Amino acid sequence: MLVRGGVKMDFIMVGVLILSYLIIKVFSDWAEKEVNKL
Amino acid sequence: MLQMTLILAMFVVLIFPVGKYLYNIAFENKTFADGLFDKIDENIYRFCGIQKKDMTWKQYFIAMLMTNFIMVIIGYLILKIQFIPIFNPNKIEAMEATLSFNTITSFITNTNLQHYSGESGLSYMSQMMVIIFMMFTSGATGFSVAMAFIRGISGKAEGFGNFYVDLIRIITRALLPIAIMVSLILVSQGVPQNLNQNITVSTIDGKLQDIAMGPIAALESIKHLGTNGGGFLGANSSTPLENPNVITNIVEMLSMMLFPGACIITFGYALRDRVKKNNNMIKNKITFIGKDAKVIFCVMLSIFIIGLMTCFISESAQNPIFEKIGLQQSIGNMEGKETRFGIVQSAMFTTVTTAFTTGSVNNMHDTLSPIGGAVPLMNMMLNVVFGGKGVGLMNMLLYVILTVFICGLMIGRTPEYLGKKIEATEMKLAALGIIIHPMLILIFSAMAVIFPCGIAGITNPSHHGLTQVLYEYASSAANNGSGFEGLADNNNFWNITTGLVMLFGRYLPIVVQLAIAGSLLKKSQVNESIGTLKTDSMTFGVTLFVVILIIAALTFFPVMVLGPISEHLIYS
Repeated sequence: MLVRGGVKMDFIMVGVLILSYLIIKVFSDWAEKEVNKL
Repeated sequence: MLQMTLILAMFVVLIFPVGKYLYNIAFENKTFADGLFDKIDENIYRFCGIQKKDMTWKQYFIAMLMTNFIMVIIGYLILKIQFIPIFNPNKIEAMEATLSFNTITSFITNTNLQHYSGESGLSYMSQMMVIIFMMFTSGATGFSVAMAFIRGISGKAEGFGNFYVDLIRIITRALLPIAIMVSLILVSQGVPQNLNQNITVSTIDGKLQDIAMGPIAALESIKHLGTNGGGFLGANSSTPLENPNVITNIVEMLSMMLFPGACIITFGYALRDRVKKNNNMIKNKITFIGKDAKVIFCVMLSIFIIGLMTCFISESAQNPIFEKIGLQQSIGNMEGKETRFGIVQSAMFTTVTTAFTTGSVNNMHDTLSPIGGAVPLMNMMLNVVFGGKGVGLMNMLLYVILTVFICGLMIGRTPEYLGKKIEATEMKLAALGIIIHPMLILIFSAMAVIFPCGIAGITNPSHHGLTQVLYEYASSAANNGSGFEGLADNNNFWNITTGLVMLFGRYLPIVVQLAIAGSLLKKSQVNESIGTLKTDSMTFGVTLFVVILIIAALTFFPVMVLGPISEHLIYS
């Protein structure tokens, strides 16, 4: 088996990583809008 | 005292040439090493298909974020397949999912919080392809962002530069050559550098003990130069295999201090040249570095020295509990410290590793006296005392903007910084940038002491237990990575929550800082008038110092009272 230690949990953790990066991306979009208001 | 003075003197002497060198790298000026590095860099650009186009702050950030994300996914996969017999002589198994999540976020964010022991948790392949690789790239990422920020806020350059170019130039021209030099010094002092299997030896008691081997020196150099902090071994720089003697201890401390200190000098050079560019009147006047940078440097150094002296005095004092039972403590509180380092080298290492947000440890922070332990905690809570490779500078500039605004309100001057007006957008972003850090620490600490899964990890009762929790999240949010230790933190709750704090503590402030720099870069230069508040005077420096203390006191004082201050009052 290539991946040991619970594949289901691995998918959840990778999902959390993707979600975290998406939140940061959305935050940066908001900051860009704020700066462009000038 | 003499030791501390000499190390600080060496630090001040070293950061000027390194700061100038970094400035030349950041602004693509000529350096003595261009003949060699230009060829290497050009080949890497060609191989990777990098076009040297200027980016906006948002493009720069997205390039950084996506590069980091790809590294995270690849790194996660390597941790899961590390059981394969490639550079795995100790037959290390795949890492558990939440621990992999914690480890990968820890190293991509330059935090290096470790919920595993390197000698039993990672194969040599993982140590080299994930840990050492990310120590270079995360260090260079922080540097790159700081350089882009300096370009934007100083107004010296037209744009923010190119993230990929910055990343490569900083690795090839600064981190890699200096890391090789430091590694060789460490090897000369006895730090192992090999790919051998661990050695099993018989001790004097007749028991068997494993002596760790591996590419320790290679990791050790970049661990400190990149303000990373994650040890090859669980005991980090307290073990003789990573830090054999006082010479290596001093080398490691100076390595931690070098680049963060040099970043202030780089900022100073950028400001000096901006002034020269904008004002022909003083073109020929010799200025060393911009005065605004001198003020920032003095404020950072003052806070650092106050912390250092507090930690040193607290650790030199006797532990009142040991005193009661009649233990000899003539050299101070030596519990959890290495005798080869003593109080001075231990207190200094503790202050340096938290002020410069590295996170390596040469003594057990859990056994520091309550006030001695409050110093590293406060350094991480402030996160502006030099900080890691420009991050401290960027955080400090948020406080500078706040101070400019407060002073402007108090004395009726126009809020301006470096010739640009500070308006509602910058203030909104700066306030947000300042509040993200304490929010992450306090909200997650509150969760840890409310939920049973959080409480289950706390191994000390009462005030010391709260300090453990605060330290863990402060270390994560400040991307420091040092452990107070004592927490049973390798479980789902602690792995996931500290992982999230590290990610948000790293990227959200960077968004805010780059956005402020982007906003200021767009604005036209305002000529200095009688209504302009001077930000290059020592009066401003004192005000900045007080503002930092007030903000920190308002935010963290209640929780500090419940933690280390109460513990000190009870036991003294």
